[in-house]
Amino acid sequence: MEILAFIGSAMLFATFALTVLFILIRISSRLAMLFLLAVPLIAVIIMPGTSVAFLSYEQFLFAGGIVPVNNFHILLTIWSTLIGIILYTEFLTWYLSKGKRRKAEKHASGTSADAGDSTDLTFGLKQLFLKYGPSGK
Amino acid sequence: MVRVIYINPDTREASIETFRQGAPGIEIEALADKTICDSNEEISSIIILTNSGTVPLHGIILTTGSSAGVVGEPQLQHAVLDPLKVKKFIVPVTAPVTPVARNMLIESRITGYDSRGIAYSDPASFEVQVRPYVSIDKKVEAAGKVSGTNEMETDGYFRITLRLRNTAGFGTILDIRDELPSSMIPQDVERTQWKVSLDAGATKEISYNAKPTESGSFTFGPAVAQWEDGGETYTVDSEPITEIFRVRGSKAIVEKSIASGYLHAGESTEIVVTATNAGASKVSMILTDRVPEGLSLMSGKVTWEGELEAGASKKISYVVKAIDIGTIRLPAAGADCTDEEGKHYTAVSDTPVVYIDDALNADHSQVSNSGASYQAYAHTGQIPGSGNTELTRIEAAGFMLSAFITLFLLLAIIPAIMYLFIRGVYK
Repeated sequence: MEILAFIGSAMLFATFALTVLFILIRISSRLAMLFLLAVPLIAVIIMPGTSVAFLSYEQFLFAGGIVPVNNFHILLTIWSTLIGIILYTEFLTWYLSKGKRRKAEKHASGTSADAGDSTDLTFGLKQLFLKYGPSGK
Repeated sequence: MVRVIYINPDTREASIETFRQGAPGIEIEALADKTICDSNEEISSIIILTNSGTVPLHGIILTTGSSAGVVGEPQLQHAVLDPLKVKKFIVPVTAPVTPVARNMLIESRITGYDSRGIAYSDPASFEVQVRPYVSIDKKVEAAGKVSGTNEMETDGYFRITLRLRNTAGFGTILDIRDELPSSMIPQDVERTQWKVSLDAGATKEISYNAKPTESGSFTFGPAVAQWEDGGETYTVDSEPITEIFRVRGSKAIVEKSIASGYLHAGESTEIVVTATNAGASKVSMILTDRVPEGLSLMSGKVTWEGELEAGASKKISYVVKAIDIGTIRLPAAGADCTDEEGKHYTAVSDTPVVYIDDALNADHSQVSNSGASYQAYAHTGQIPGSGNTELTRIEAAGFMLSAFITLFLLLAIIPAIMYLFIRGVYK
């Protein structure tokens, strides 16, 4: 029974994670984030008994039985992983798109921004980002 | 030397051969009239000597010695033993006085001579076990309502007799101890321990009655006598009693168990009370249990009344909900029994303990946004509502939402800082 419960839980979590990734890739990252939150939330609201029983089911015991791992902990792990993927995808998308825009502006004006005046740390970092930053390469 | 064997008068011939001197042969068999004896007891050492030789054995001397005992006649003599004749010697030996069992070695040696004065000798030895000088014997008899061999009713009793003996030549003071089976009580004595002064060579008897308080099969352990000798303490046990005594009658056993001894306030658990008729006859029973303060009865019954055949059992179970936080000792469940003879008795169960924790706080008004509650959830590794039927779906959803937001904010810290920084650089 424990093996069956583990397999069932794993399949459910895998389906959930793959669906979120599919939405992230094919549709929208915001929808994926919403889906990530909404599915467990709606499940708890619609079927509180079943959902709570599922989430509180103990899958493993670590450290000689001291640390229990429930389905809820697995859900938290999946949540944190997928939130991280979505957030960093969003951030990198913004970063790269900003680089493309900047390159286009640079071509249009023919000159760089106010470089070369400042000698402080901010200037150095600016130079660094301008050199290795979002150049659209 | 030669000797003539045959003379033929006709031919006047004589047959002769070389004369050879014969020799006596010694065969000894040594034994005793007892292989185990008491301290200070006189036993007989028997030595049987057979001359298996061809000439008589002269000047026979039997020398006897012992490692511990005292030999009555250390040396015995006999003039002559012809070939193929048997001589039986009896030597009295007194066993030593010993506080512990030990072996006594008795050694004998036969020496004899032939006609030419040549000595022949042969030894023999054997061992005898010597018991301590204090001995205790225990005898158990079923008395009263005896219904068969070693079988009795609960109204009967056991007559126990302890026989003490001191075979030493001096008196001693003994501490006697006789352990009874736990369900038996001595009737005419307060304790089954005595201090007895036993004179030299004296024998005493201690008798008392023991009454069984419940039915079943019983065996009696050995009685123990303890005394001091020369600054040392010695003990001796009686021979083990292998008989099994059976006491017929009704006997009820009540057991109480709880499904979970650790609860959170608001959680429910099942309590099971099992009554078993372990006796040999039918019994009428009223089984009752009680829900203590701090718990409330959710479902099930706490009483039962009926009859139980011999060997049958009845189980009642009920569900209680934890109300108060703390440690609650459940009261003992009791069975008021009446056997077929109208005899009343009561059996009670153990008193299990339930620990009720407040880790999942029963104050539901704060569950959804209480930091302390979430700390508790993190501590227990459970989400609210695990086994808690009173947790609402909104509270559960609130917990999920807050967990999601917390994770989101934690993971968004680095991208947010990077975003703000890059925005500042490219401003």
